[in-house]
Amino acid sequence: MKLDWVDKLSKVVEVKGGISSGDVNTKVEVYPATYEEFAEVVRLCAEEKLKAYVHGFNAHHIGKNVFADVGISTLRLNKVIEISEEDLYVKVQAGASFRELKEELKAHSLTVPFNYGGSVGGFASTNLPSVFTSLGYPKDWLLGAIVVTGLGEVVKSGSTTTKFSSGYKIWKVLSGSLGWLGAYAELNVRLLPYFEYHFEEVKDHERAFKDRALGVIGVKVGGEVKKFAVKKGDGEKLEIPEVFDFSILTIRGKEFEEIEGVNADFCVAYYGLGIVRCLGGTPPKGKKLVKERGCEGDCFNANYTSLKLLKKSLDPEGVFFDVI
Amino acid sequence: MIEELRKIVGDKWVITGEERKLYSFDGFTAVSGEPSVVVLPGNEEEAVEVLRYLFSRKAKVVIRGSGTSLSGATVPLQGEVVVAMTRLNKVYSVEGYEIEVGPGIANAMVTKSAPKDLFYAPDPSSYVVSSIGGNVSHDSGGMRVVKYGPTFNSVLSLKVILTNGEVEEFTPSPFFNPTSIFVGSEGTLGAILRARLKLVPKPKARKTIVGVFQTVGDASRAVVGIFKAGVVPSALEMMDKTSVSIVERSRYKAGLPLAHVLLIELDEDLEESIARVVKVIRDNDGEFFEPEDDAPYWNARKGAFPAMGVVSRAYLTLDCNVPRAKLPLILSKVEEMSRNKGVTIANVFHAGDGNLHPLIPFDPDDKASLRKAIEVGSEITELAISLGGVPSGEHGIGLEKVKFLERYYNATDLEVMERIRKAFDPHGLLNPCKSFLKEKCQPKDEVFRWLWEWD
Amino acid sequence: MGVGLELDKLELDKCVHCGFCLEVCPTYVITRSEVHSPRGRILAVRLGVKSEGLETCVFCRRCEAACPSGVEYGKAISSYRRADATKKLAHRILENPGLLYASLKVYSRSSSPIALRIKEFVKSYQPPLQYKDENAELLLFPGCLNSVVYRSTVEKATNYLRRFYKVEVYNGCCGLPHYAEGEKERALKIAEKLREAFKGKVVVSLSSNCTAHMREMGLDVFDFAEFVVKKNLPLPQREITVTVHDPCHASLVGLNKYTREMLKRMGAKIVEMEDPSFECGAGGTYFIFNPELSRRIAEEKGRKVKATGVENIISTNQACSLALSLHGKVFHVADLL
Repeated sequence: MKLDWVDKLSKVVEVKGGISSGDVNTKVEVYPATYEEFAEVVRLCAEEKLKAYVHGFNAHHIGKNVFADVGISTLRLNKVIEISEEDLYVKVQAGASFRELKEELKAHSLTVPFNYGGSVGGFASTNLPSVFTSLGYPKDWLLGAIVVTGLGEVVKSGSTTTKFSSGYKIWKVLSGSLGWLGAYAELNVRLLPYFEYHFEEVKDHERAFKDRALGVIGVKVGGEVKKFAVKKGDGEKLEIPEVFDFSILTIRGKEFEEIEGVNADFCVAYYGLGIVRCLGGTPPKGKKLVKERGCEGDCFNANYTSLKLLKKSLDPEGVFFDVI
Repeated sequence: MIEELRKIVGDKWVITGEERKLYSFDGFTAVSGEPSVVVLPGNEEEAVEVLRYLFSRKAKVVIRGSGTSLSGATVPLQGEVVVAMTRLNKVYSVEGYEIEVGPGIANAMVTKSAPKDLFYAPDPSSYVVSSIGGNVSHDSGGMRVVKYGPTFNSVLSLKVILTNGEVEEFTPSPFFNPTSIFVGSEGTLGAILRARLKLVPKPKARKTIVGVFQTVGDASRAVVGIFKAGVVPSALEMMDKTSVSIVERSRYKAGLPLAHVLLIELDEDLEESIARVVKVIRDNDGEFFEPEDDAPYWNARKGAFPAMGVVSRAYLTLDCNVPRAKLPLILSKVEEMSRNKGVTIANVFHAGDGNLHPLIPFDPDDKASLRKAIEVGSEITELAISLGGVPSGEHGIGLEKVKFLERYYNATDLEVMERIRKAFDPHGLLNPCKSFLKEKCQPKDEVFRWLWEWD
Repeated sequence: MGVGLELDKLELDKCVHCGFCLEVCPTYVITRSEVHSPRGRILAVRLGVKSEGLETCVFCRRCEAACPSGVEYGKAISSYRRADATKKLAHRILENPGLLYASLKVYSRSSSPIALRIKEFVKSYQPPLQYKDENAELLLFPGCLNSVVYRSTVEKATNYLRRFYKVEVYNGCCGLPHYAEGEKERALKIAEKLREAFKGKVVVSLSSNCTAHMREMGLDVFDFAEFVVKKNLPLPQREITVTVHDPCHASLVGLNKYTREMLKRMGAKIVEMEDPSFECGAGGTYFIFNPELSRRIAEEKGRKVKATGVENIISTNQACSLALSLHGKVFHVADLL
């Protein structure tokens, strides 16, 4: 089927066939190579009343299944622009592979203290927890960004400095919003000196956390929960899957109470981050839940007027697909 | 209106007479305004009722806490109603690594209310008095940002009231959490009613090294060197010679040598880190000592701003932020400016973040001296922006820095921020004339002209 | 404006409005209103605004210790406070402990609000102790309230000091209430009178805020515990667990360390309360004229005391002792002798 808007798109950007991966379905995929192309695509979508869905490797979809007209792939925007050893930040485009970025940083004895198997944009947009639980969420490590709004504006938000009190934190509110409020084109991410790490099984998770391990997690397979501290120094590592079916949100420090009671095939408690993520089984009732996959309706427990106001300001035409 | 407010909070908590002038300015003393009335709600319910009433009457409002803003964020410029949230200072819950507090609680009280082995990391110098509502609204910094991040990283969720009267309580979720947009929004999007904050395990031990340098250049090169050596200190502060000499004349005197001083706090891998830091200090022609009792030095640092009162009755405190790598350059330029313009500029600042705090004294009875201070400040801030920095690292834009937004942002950036502000506050009721504006207000006198307009 | 006032205004102009004084001020902590804060009071004076806050100051001067700019708040603000007739009368009574005793007797039969308020605090009283050794070399200055309300403390201290010195008890007032509550001129006159009386004598004061005030007026006075510690006088051992209140002015001139040292030498166990120098709620005659604020400050103090779980409270200042008696058993260090 030849559609008029596809022609229009092809004039500004490389267009390929859509994807249908079950949870993400698009009619066409476009590959902007510059921020201007990215913005132009979004403007066109707004004009043509098309729904767009921005993604990198499409490896960590969360929320409602997507049926969008245009899939905007960031994979052509994949350059590492600047690595600052003095100021401990990296300026990098959204489509760069997070793993490759970490490899490159390692050569400078630097690192972003997270594990994530997708793009840098996905790392920022999904804001998923990692095993270094005492270091917070990705959102805390984003210093600034170049953002594309739903009106196709290319906007600077934040900076490269650790402190920033000079404007609304648009780049921060986009983190964890899965591309619904706007898309990252470029990110400034805070770095740490490179470190090796390993996992150690522990009995007392609280003690390990208070002794300031890099992180503490609980892994539940079948009925049994094992506790691990993540510590500095090379050694044995645990492979933690990155895709889950649902999450339970809880008070930070109460994750092990939650993981005990949950009925699932496999769960990880991220101690100190207030989240337990699970595969299989049934989400418990009466808890604050995030339905990560196969969800319909309210997936995130986030029916806020404030979010609607943000959507109205950042994507008034509703170009970005409603994953929420 | 006053009658209605009295009905909600009680007579004595509505200040209408001359006494309302006591709320006419904050820590930024170069200008003052005048509130039409001041209201001090006694609890969350009263605050909600007061604000709903004011919003329904389309009254312009300034929300404030302890009034320590250094950017004039709480100065009522248009006869606004000042709603002081200081009485909302409750601790609602302490559980796990979370504490939920009212916006009026002083920063220092958060750690005091926490379990003994945990602490609240953000520590702006005014932490003994500045309130959490203001800390959140400015994304306040402090000494420990260099390791623990700014206030943002410690705010898990908020309860807010919007200008349509709706009260929203956000879940502390990593997904779709609007808390992020309220942090640092300077009271322009809604009023904070509660904050859920993160508590961090205290380190087993902390160690302070005092680095002593003969030139600002050596000191600032050492700052960069420390990070390049793979050390992330838990605090890294600089006091230049001028500020050392001032502090040593104040109540906060610590017996610091009259030189450019770095205060370096480490709280991890102590042995290894100390060795690396010491090497960096030596490599940059510095000397050092490791005080047994480091409290006097940190008190000297924390009291350094107001200690300016010893030499001047008033001063501007800038807080532009540059990349650390640019510290040697900008500090030498500031020294040059100070010489050329004949203005004493004391630098006492968060070197580890590249967050400058040039303190520029002026005589409050002499407009010409204020004008000069504003001009010098403006030049420094512009320079910082041109070096890849930002106009404000932690004090916020307030009324002080509105003109620098057009240097830092382009028209589109400002347009998008304007849309956010308008969406949340369509009638322009919250903190008018301040922070992130596309169009500045009309200056009401020459001081505002100096602050808001370019020559 | 007189030269004195002019100077005091200049002193207040040193305030840079940073607000570091807010959370140490008892009336701010209770009201959380700028009106009742040191910063607000200073601004009221500077702007010439008539403010209720000037009268609600407890005059504990903790704000001075917190002020980075070194504003001498107490000295300057005292010039802008005015005593009304009732306060003046109260001051006159305090000047003469004999008259204080007589007045308390009169009040005990009255049911005026002031009398009732006084009775809440003062449960018993006795005529002041008159004692004088021949050729006395040491003046014991009990302080006005001690003289009549805590006579037994005066007796214990006198008996103790008599073992080492020839003692005379000097019943009188140090002038602090006057200074704090709008009669600065009269306070200066009282100080002059004391200077005459103290000439050539070693003076030991039993009331640490009086000690502090007299020191600041340039008088050479020891606080009781300070004297005992500095002279290395022998002390009995006491098996007792206490928490120590630091009277505000004594704190400012650094007297409370001697109280702790004396307790330590006696083998007492000290459990520290939070913010030991936080106002007790008495504030000289403050508790009489600002009952509501005084009550709430006392409640706040009570919370801090109770948190220690200790019943015995050490207070070296009489007015504080009255207010603290709401929260436990109060002792002067001399009571332990």
